[in-house]
Amino acid sequence: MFDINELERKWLTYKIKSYLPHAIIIISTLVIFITLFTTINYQNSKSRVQNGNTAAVAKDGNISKVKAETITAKKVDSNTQNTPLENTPQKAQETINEKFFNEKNETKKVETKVVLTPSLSFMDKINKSTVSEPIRIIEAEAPAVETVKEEERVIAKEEAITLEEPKGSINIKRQNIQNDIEQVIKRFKKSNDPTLSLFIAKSYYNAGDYNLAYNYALITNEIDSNQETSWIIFAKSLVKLDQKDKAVETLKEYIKQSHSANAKTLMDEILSGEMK
Amino acid sequence: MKSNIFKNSKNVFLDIVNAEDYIQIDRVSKMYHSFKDSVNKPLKMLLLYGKPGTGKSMFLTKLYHDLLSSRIVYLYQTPILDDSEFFKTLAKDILDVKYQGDLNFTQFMKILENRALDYVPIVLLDEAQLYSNFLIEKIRLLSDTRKIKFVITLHKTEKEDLIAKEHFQTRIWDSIELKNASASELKVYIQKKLMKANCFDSANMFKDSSVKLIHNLTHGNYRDTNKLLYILFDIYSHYHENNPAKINTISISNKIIEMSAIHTGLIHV
Ligand SMILES: Nc1ncnc2c1ncn2[C@@H]1O[C@H](COP(=O)(O)OP(=O)(O)O)[C@@H](O)[C@H]1O
Ligand SMILES: [Mg+2]
Repeated sequence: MFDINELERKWLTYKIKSYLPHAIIIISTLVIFITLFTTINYQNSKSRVQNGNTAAVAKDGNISKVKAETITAKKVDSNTQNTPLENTPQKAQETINEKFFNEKNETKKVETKVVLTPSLSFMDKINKSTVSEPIRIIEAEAPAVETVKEEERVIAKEEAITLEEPKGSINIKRQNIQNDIEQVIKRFKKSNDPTLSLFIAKSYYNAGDYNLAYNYALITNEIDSNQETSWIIFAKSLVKLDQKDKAVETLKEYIKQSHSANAKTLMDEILSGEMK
Repeated sequence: MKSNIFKNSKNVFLDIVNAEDYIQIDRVSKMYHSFKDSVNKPLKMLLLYGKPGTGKSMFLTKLYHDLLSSRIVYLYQTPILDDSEFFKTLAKDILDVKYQGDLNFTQFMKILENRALDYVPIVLLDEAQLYSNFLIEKIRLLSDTRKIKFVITLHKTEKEDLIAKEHFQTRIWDSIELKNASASELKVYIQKKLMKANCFDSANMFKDSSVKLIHNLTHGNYRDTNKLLYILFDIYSHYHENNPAKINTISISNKIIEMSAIHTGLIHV
């Protein structure tokens, strides 16, 4: 004979045991997702805090935002000499792109050429304060450039390695995100490569620094007006800066020339209020 | 309170080998008939082998039962392990000679040769893997005389495979391997068995999914299935009497199948 209660208890243990592996898998995936989500949020808010004062100042339109940038850029410059790089940094930058930005919009070549021309007084203000500044910096910094290619390469490699690590490097990443942007800004100043400025625009947009995002989108567009993403970031930044009408206007202009589906989607989202 | 339909169902799965309880399962049934035909051919020996619980004893018992009407046939379900005892039993049964004292192989052969039987008696030996190598060798020599025909069953393990090869390879004309049931054969087995005992309600409770779970647990082994279902109906009986809210009579509950498997050791907790 059997003890029915004992048997029922054993059966329950058996059931729990057989579901345990599934439960563990589900829970651990959830935990990983939540951790990732919160770290990314934390990263964003942290860089927002870092840019906080400068961004606010720029919004007021009094002092050039780029001042702060110049200082940091200089500081980094003195640490690692800046040289236009070809392969490795390019790769590293691509990795950053993939890792940190979920931009669905792939850059697409468009035949027609429309260049962004901000006409509002608001734009003028920003233009004066920020867009002109980086150029000045480039000029100022240019003579100081020394070629220490090897060193730079090593750094770039290290960067790439840390970024490729899937887990455990979250802390390093968090510390590096501001650094990364600065590094890329430096490289951009040397090379004037629009993919770099676009990356910077995306970075600032994701960090919540919409003024700087606007600036770099504009800069990118000036260099290469076919960069779809630059238009999109430009428009998105405008929305964030309470310039919804200007954003729609810009997008309309761009869609006319490019028939970009992504731009259309974005415009619809802005008009419907989905994108705020 | 409704009568306990589960009590009768439980007894259906007692591990008893009885020719009347034999259930025809298509594949085995075909094998059975060809094997039965082989008995009537001038073959020295027939071998039935397979893992424990695949129905060898049942098969042999059924064969014995079916041959009784037409042939002189003897069934030894439990092996006679002592040599002298084995020959004495054969002498008594086949030759009607009651022998006092020990009887060895040579003596038995002499008696057999001196007796002119006008038929070949069939001797069915179950669980032949239990016989000593010595006795197996003598059985082989007896078969060579063609005066007695042996049908033996063997558990199939590596060791027994060897015995089968060494001792019988050259002499066996026909052999059959019995295997575990497939899921559909198991369903036929369970339902036919229950219906034979008029347990129609419980037979109807075995849906494909329940049988599939049982098959997963027992791999279609008849003995393991019997054990499992015996406990299963024991648990059903218990619930029926003490806690009828816990069971339904529409289909067999997976929970109770698993509880039975835990109790019989098919599932380790
Ligand atoms: N064809 C069958 N019909 C009915 N019962 C069967 C059949 N085959 C096997 N069984 C049941 O399965 C159990 C195990 O079978 P058995 O012949 O003793 O296996 P083996 O001798 O191979 O170990 C038996 O108790 C028997 O009731
Ligand atoms: Mg047996």
